[in-house]
This record gives sequence, C-alpha cells and structure tokens, in this order.
Amino acid sequence: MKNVNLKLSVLMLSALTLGAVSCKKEGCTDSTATNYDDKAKDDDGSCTYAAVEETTLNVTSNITANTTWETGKVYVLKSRIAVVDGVTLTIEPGVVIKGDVGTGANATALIIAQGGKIMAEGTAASPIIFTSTADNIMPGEITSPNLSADLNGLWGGLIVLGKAPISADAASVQIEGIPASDANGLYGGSIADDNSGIIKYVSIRHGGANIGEGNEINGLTLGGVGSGTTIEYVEIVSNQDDGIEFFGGTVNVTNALVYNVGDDAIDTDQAWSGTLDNFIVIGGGDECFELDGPEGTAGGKHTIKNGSVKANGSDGLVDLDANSHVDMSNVYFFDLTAGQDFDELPRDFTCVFSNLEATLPASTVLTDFFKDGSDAFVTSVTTNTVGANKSVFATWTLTDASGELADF
Amino acid sequence: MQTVKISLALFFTLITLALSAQNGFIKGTVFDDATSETIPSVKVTVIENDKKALTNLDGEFNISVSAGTYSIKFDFPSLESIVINDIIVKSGETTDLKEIRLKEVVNEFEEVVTITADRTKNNETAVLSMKMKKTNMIDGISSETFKKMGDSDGASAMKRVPGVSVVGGKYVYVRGLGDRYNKTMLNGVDIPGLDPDRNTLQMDIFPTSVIDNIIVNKTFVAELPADFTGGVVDIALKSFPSKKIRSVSASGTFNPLYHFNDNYLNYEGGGTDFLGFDDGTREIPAISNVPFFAQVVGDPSGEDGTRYTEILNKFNPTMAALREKSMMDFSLSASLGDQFKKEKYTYGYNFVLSYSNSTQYYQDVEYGRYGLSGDADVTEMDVRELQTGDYGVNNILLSTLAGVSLKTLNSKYTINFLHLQNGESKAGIFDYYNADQGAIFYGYQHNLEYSQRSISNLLISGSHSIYNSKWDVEWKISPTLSKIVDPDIRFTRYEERDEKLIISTEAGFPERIWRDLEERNIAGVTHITRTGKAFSREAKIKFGGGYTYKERDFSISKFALNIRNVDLNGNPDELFSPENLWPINGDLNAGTTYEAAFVPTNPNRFNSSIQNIASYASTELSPINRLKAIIGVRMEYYTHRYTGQDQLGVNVLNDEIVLQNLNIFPSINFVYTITEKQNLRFSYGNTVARPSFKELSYAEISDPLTGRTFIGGLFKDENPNTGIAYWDGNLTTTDIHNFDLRWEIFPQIGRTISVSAFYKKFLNPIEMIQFATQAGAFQPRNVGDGQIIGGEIEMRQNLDIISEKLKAFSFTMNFTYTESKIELSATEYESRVANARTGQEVKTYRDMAGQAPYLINGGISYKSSKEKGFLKGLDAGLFYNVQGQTLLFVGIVDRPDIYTKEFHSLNMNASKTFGKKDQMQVSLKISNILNDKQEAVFKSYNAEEQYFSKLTIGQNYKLKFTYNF
Repeated sequence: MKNVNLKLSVLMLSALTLGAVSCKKEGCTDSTATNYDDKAKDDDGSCTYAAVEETTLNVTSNITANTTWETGKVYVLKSRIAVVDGVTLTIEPGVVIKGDVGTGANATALIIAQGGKIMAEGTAASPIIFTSTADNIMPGEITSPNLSADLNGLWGGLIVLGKAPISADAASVQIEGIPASDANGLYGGSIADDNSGIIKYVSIRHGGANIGEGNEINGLTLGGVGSGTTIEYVEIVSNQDDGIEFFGGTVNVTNALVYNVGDDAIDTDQAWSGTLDNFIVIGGGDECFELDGPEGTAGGKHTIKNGSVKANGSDGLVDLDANSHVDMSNVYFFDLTAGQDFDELPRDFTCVFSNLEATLPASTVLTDFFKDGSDAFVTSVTTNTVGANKSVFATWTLTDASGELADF
Repeated sequence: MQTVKISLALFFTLITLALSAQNGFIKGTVFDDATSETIPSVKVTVIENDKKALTNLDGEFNISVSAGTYSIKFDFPSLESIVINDIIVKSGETTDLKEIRLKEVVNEFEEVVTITADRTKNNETAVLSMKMKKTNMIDGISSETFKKMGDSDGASAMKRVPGVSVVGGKYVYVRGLGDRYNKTMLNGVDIPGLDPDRNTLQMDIFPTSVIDNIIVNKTFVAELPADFTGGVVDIALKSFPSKKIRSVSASGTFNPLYHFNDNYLNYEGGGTDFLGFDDGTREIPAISNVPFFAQVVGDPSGEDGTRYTEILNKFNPTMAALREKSMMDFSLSASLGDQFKKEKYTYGYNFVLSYSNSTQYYQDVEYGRYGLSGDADVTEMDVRELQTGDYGVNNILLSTLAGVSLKTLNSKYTINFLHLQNGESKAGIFDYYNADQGAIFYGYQHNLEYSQRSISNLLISGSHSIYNSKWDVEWKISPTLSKIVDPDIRFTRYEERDEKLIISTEAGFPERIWRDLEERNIAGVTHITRTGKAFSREAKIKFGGGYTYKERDFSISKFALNIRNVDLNGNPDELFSPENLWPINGDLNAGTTYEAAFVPTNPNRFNSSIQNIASYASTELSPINRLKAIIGVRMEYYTHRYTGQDQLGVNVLNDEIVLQNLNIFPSINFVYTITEKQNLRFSYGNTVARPSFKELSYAEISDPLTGRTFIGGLFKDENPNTGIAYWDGNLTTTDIHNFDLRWEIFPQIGRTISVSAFYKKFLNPIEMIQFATQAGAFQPRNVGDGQIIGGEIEMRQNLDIISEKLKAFSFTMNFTYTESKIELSATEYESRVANARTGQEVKTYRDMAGQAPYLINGGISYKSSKEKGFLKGLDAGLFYNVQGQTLLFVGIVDRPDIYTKEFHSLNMNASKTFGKKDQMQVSLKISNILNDKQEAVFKSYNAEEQYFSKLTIGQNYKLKFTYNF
C-alpha cells in the first residue's frame, strides 16, 4: 500500500512537470554556463558554471606535501610558511608571491626548512617575484603599478635553511627571529653538498619585516645552505635589513643584484665557505659588505669576485674584523663619499685581496677610503677594468626597469 | 549550615546568660605572666559552689553568681594555679578582677599545650612563645619588632627572621631556597602574586603599619598547603586592636646619591601618578581595527589610511627621559582602632591608611652580556653587549586597611579589607655597545617604564570554641583581585655611526609595549580541632579543608616603530613630534610608522586557571611521656587549565587541562622534651612544587629589557636532524621529600639557642633551561633529581650572661648553610663539555639555581629599662644580613653561568619615646652602612668576573616621627 502511494505521487509530480514544460520551455538561460540551453525561455536556476580559476591563492599553513605554485597566479603568504623536511615546493616561472602584512610572530616569510626544497626556476622573460600584498603587481609585470621602489619592511623575506656546516655555538642553531620552539628554524649540520633546490631568476622586494625582537628578515637568508643548491640570477630590492646574508654553509651564488637595502648589502657570518661571483651592489644602507669571521671552532673561507659596487650614500664599503676569512678580487667601487671606508685587514687568517679598483671623488686619495693598508690592493681608476657583467640583469630586474643600471 | 548551627548554639548560650542577670557577676582576663598574652581555655572554678567556666579566646571569663563573697581558682596546664579570695559580689553588679596573671610552673613543661587559636602574636615574645609551643618549626616577626626597628615594609622586616633572606629588596628566600620553593599567604589563605615570573608575592608592598605579624613555617604539617619546600610566609594583617589606638606618623628619608640630585631621571607622566595609578595618559592608542603600514601605503587617504594616521597621532608623544632634581622620600601613616567591651560581647575596628613616596636614582648602572670565546684556549670572556648609564625610579605606595571584629564569649568574627596601590615610574638613559659576532656598534638609548600594581583583598573569618572548648572551629573566606599593568613601556635606541645618528634594524627599532595581568582568586579554609585526651594526656584531632581557585589573564601588546627616512636630532621626543609623523609632507616613505605585533593573532596572550581542593586530618598526641607527635595527611586535588596558542597557531588550547593530579601528602612531626626547656624535634613531610601559570603554557614571550625569550614548557624540543629529543613538553610537578631535625633550648622566655639540620630530595625539579640552538631562549623543564643538605644555627641571648651591666643588650644571630646538587640534563652536559676551556673539568652536576649556599642574619639590640633621663624609652639596634653567591641563570653553550654576589647589608636603628605617656616616638634608621653594591656577575673557568648587572644604592637616612593620642 505504501509503495503504491509513493508511485502514485511520483506519477502525479511528473505529470505536473510535463504540463509546465509544455507551456513554456524552462532551463538555464545564461550563455556563460556549461549547461546553457538556447531553447529555454525561463531560467529555472539550474545553471552550472565551470570552476572559475582563482588567480590569487592564500597560503595559510606550512607546506607538508609536494606542492606546485603555477604560472600566472599570485600566492599570498598569510603567516610564516615553512616547506618542511622531505617536501618540495615547485614555483613555476612568472609566479608572484606576496607576503601579507604583519610583524613579530605575525610577520610573513617563506622558509625552506632543513630537508625541504625549493624549485623556483624563473626565466629572464618570466621571473618569479616575491613582494608585499601592498604591491598591486600581477603575473607578467616587472614593475609595480603602485609602489615606489624604495619602500621597505612591508613583509618578511625568503629564508633557506640547510644542513651544511656552520661555525656557531652548536652544530645546528636556530635562525634569528624564529622562536626556539619552532624546529623549522634550525640550520647547520655536516652535509657540505646538501641540496635545498634551485633559486633562479628570482626578484625579492620590499621585505625585511621584524620577525622577532630586533630581528628583521634579510631579503635572502641562507643558513647552512649546501653546495648542492643552485642560486643564480637573484635580485633583492629595498629590503629593510640586509640584502643577502650567509650564515655559514657552502652554497655558491652567481649573478646577484642588491639594490637599496636598509642595512648591509652582503653580509657573511659563521664561516660561509662558498663563492659570490658576478654581482652588483647599489648601496644606501649600512655597509656594502659586512664580512664576519667564524663564531665557533669550525673555519671556512669565502670568495667574493667580479662585482661592481655603487656606494650610493652607504655608511661604509667593506667592514672586516680581525677574524674575517675572505678572498676578494676584481671588485670595482664607485660613487664614493667621505666617511665610507674599507675599514681594516683581517689578522687571524690569510686573506687575499686583489685587483680591486675605485673611482675616487675629486681631491681625495685612496687612503681616505681604504684603511689599514688595504689601499695597496686597490687601483684608482676613472674607467673600470674589473667588475660585474651587468647584461645578466637586463630585462628581468626591477633595478634595470628603474634605470638604475645605467651607471654600471 | 554548620555555621548556622554554631551561631544558634551561641545565641542560646547568650540567652541563658542574660536570664541570670538578677545575680551578680565576676569577670576578668587571664594573662600569661611571662608573655603578657591572654590565655584561652583557663578553667575558672568558684570554690564555694563549684561552678566552672573556661576563659574565651581572649582569656576573658564572666561568671554569674548570687550576691556573696567568693574564692576563685584558676587552672591551666603548665601554669601555676592560683586562687583569689574575698571577692565580693553585689546583686546586679559586676565585680571586675581585671588582670589575673598566671606564672609558669617548672617541671611540667611536657604538658604545654600548643595553642593555635587566637593568641596575641604581635610581640616578639609571643612569636617566640608560639615557636616553643608549636609542634612544627616556625619563625616569625611581630609588629612590635617592626616598630622598634623602624622597618617600613614587610621586606625589610623579614630580614630579621632566622633563615630568611630578602632578594632584591622584595622577595623572600627561606633557607636559601629560591622563589619557586616558597609560598606567600595572607591571613592564612592563598594570595595571588603580582609578578608573572614569580611564585611568591613581593613583600615590599606591605607597609608594616598594616601587618600584625609574619610567621614563616619551615616544616610541613597537614593544615598547611603542600606546595612549599623552603617555607610558607604567612602575613597576618592587623585585625583587632588590644587597646585604643590613634596614631599618626610621618617620615622622611634622605639618600645622598638619590636625593636632591639635579641629574635625576624622570619622564612626563600623568596627573594621578602621585597616587600610584595612571590617569589614562599611558592608554594604548588602539587594540582593534589596527591597520598595518603595508595596508595603507598604497592608499594613504583611504579608510585604513585615515585610521592609521589617527592611531599614530594618539600615541603619547613623550619618548625621552628628562633630567631634573629629585625629591627625598617621605611617608605618612595614620592608624585608628579601638575595642568596645559590652557585657556579652566585644567589638572593635581597625583602620590604617598609609602613603609613601620614594625615589631612587641609580648612577653608573651596568648591564652586560658576556660570552665564551670560540677559542677554547682563551679563558677570559668576550663582551657581547654593554649598557651603562643612569636610571631613576619613583615609587608610590598607597595602602588602606579597614576591619571590624566582633567577639562573643566563644566566637570571634572578623571582616577585613585591604587595598594596596603601587605605581612605579622608571626612566633611564644608557650608552649602548654591541660587539656580538662581528656586528660592532655604539649607540645610546632611552627607556621609559611605568608599572602599576594593585591588590584588593577581603577576608571574612570566624572562629568558634564550642562544647566547653572541646571543639574549635575556624573558617576563612578570602577573595582577592590583583592586577599588574605595565602601560606604555617605551624604548628608543640610536646608533651612532660615524657621528651620524640612525635608528636601524641593526640596533633594533623603538618599541612601545603594554603588558596586562589580572588575577582573580578565591580561597577558603576550614579548620576543626577537637581537644581531648589520649594516653591519659592532652591530645588533639584536627581536620579541615581548603579550596582555592585562581584565574589569570595575561597579554602583551606591542607596537614596533619603524622610523622611515627621518632626519634625526637625537632627542627621542622627535619620533612623535607632529612634523615627523608619517607621511612627512606627503612622502610615503618618510616618517614615524608603527607595526602592531599583536595583530591578527597575539601569541603573547593566555588565560589559565587553577583549582585546588584540599582536605586534611591530623592528630596531635603524646603516646609516651615527654614525646609529642603530630601525624597528618593532606590530600590535594589540583587542576590546571590553559587557554592560548603558539605563534603559528599549530598548538591551540581552549580551557584544556594541562595538569591534573590527586596527591596525598603525609607529614610527621615529633617533639621530644629533653628537659623542661629543651626540645628535640624531628619532622618529615612530602611536599610539591608546581609549574606556574606561565610555565605551563605555549607562551613565547620576549622580554625587551633583558633580550631574553621565554618559551612555555608545553613546547617540545626535538632536533629532527639528529633525532635527539631534548624535552617532551610534559612539564610536571616536582615531588619533594623534606627531613628536618632540630635541637632547641629556651633558657628563659625570649632566649633561644637552636641547631637544625635538614635534607631535601627533589624529584623532577623544574629549572629554566636555555636552548642550545638559540641564544637567550629559556624554557622551564623538569631536570635531573636534586638534593639539598643544610644546617642552621640560631641564637637569641641577653648579654647579661657577660655582665649584669649589659642587661639592656641582647644579641641575635642565625646562620644557615646549604649544599645543593642537581644532575645536569643531557643538553646541558653536552654543551658544557663542548664549550669547556682547555684544562677545565666538567662535572655531571652543579648547584641548584636560586639556592643560596649560606645566609647570615645577626644583630645587637639595646632596650633601655631606665625610668628616667635620656635613656628612658630608648631602643637601638645594629643588624647585619648577607646571602652567599647564588646561581641566578644557568649557562649553556657560549653563555656562562650568572651568579648574584653577596650583598653585605648593615643597618642601624634607634628609637626613643617621649612625653608623659610615651605618646611620641622618634626613630632613626641608617641603611647600607657598608655602602655595598647590588651585583650579579658572569663566571667562567679561570676568567675574571664580568658584570651582568651592577647597581649602586648608597646609604639611606630615615627619620620618623609618630604621635599617639
């Protein structure tokens, strides 16, 4: 009996529906819908649409499974995001990553933790850009439609942490600014050829927010990064703290450009033992080079070569300590002003300085700028014979787009 | 319900008494002749008709008899019975015998009853007498002593208690055990602390005018809370004046270094600073709808931009410390109290109001941070950071105490209200030097701080003696609200780079911080005592319970200031001067900007609550002659809940239980009476130390002043690379076994010699451990087991033993020596080995943090007994106090251990009373006669000590005048 009733109802309903259809054709009347019915006259609310592809995606928690960030999209870092041990983050060319606002614990940053990997391979035509949410830049653009190039401290930065040796208090230590309770902040170990991935054609802008007490984030922080990692074609613009800071490690960096950062352009600590080759520094903050020695018992020497440095009102040129351990060659300094100096020569280790050149302001001498006998390695020139090959920075950098490479 | 019954019983007793009014009465008060204390429960017998009565809690009795002549006998164990004859009683009248004084009997000392009811504890002899009679080991200090010594607050008074030292002028250490192992109670019930980092309450906020006595219990008995090891400091507030009190006093203190100094540092505060609270001058500009710079820089005139500028303009513009002349300290106090005796009851009131305003100016202060060189052959420590400069402190303390009490024949009721209001304003200017790992720079900084603390406490208590004084019931309910707010801590540091002033990331950005702590607390206790006989001797059974609920809200809201492209002149006030606020002349990249660190989530915020339900039972009996035993057991059911989260929101707890346990704490106390004036005591107690609110949390709190980061104990510490787990995040309680042995002799009342030994075993002690991976990050963890062995000697002696002429002089001395040992955790041991200097041997144990190796208190006092001349009413004393070097912070990796140095405190007091009725008193106090400095140092193998902190405090000369009328 029950069944009969049910069947009856269905029958009646169908009849009613048929009756309605026979009067006026109903269906989806929206031509953008996937089930658009061109015969329908009345819309019955049945339209369905293809999933609209979001072009701006929020990243709210640590990346714990292999992930790809796709060309054409904007990824917003909503907090301190770590790519954890064993996980690879692939960033396709042209991706724009924007750090949201925040300071202290709420500062946004992308951290490649020990054992994690970043595969960020942009191209000269389609670089990968890290910037702030304040920047209205969209994929495909090189310059911001709204932000002046000199604004800094609007978000954090890119932090890569590896397992290569460092010279610090312990074999592994915590990167500054991340509380000791977060193990994704550890760096340093014993794997010299550790591989944290590839960073290529990457531009990092407007960063340097304060992440912890008095600890601002560098544009590119490299903590214990191993030589298996590839870092080339990188640009840091207007970071509030240092441009690139090396905390130990063995990674080599080629074709790097640092423009207008708030603190030191290139900062080395904890016995970094890699090579920085072909670079441009346009100063404006503290030192152009802050080159420190080991902090622990382990040693290690780094090499800085083939670069051009426009002092541009920086407080100093090269800041060395007694225990700095560095070789520097083929570097050209210009746009010097009184008070800027190459402060001292290291004493504790044998360091080689060679083929340095400088264009001096009128009526000054080398020893006004190159102190402690360092003038012996410097030639005063009007046109440089050593320095960076700036052509590698053409087209894809904000610095080039801003016309700042004209002097080089 | 019980209370109602008791009240009813009492009511009927009163009626019965009233009905016999056609008879006459005999009344009086019974005193202990030696101590001048009143004695409750004295048997009063009318010989003629064998009518019996017992004196009440205040030693009073009132017997109704028909008209006639009587003899009355007074009996009390251990005291000589006396009979008073020829008492004439007329119908309808009361014959007042006034004071009846009972003298001590020799040979019956073992019969001395422990009187824990309401004794007059406010004189030193009373405290000593309590000490002799108490079955557990106590020490104390009374208001009489405060008066004599001119101590102005609880902290300075506590220095005279045997085995007690006062650290930083505020916190009490008992037997050298640190803050974690001591406990503070107010009127015998729990009271919340005022410092998020401390277990005990700072004692300097209690003016002595509100304190009746302070008792330190050093051994555990079941009626005490179980969470102490060194001692429970119980502050009893004044409740019931024994006589009419009307007094006013005023004092002034001069310190040549601090006062009338033109260079004193201060800053512009609010209009009510002088009353100990902020009038809103330091209010936070915004707590919600706080946009970020990056949100407004793209659209500065939009809604967010307008809000941003509005907030920026709301900041108080003062950032600089000012140099101006300092004033001297002064204080004013008034006390009013009286009691009114009616036939059936007595009531009284007590009111105290006191105000003090003190100023300190510390010059050439030094704060340092030192580290071990990377080269193990180098033993001398490297300087990493150095702050040197001056700072000024102005401290206001306003306190009010108001109480009423009612005493009936067998009951006593008290309602007491206390409010303490404390405001402390600090301003400092320091030179700054940084040499940490290559980044060498110089600069200077201005620090401005204000800290406002308050406690409001209500006590409602009652005690009843019923069924012929066989039952004593005591109950207390005490709610407390305490608040500590640090509104608008301001910090600006300039870096001096080639004669150019800059504010940069290297030296750190200026900050403004608001810190709030509020704690709500309700505590209640009930003690029921039954007195009777066991083994044909006096015996007691005591049982009762307690309930404590504490809830704390804590938050830190910080604004970091980013000074963008401002031409600086070096005066921090420039940062908020209108022309320097962002955007300067519309330049979006110039001006003072802020970033709010507490938006969108604030990891420095939590709510925690504790509930502790306790019950106990104990018996006090004398199984054999001369031996008295108290055997007790206490049960505590403890629940700790937490609401809060870590920085990234990975761990979020919402009112979840983080610690819950039900513990049984046994205690045994034996007193063996060797001779009538000589006791041997032994005690064992099992107590506990629990993690604090902050320790059992996911808080990650950085202290801008010391640059240290506190990491809550709930976090794990694991190194994923090495697979080593250093800490599992399960912070738990410490179990402590306490053993005490004491021999004491009381040759006369007021004189003592005692020698004690104690041993304490700590299972899972909690210590602050530094992370090996990050400089300056600390976490509370349970570490390897620890132990303390110690000895104590105490003497109080009148110098008449040398010569009768020296009768007016007496000498007190106590000395505590301890040896503590704690096993090193794996991280600590590894790090000590890895960073050892060449030739240095690393042990597997070290001293316990916070445990002083020794402490000495000593003094000579003079009390004139002359009836005439200058010496009349003259009291004087010279007191010395020192605590041995104590491990303050445990070192790790390249950071050496930090020890507080001995502070040799020598103070002199003198007071003299004047007037026909001795109604005036003048007292003089000179403190820090040896001109010692407060210092803490870094220590390392074969290295010269280096300052962690150094304060020069100078000498204080205080003159006080009191008038009683």
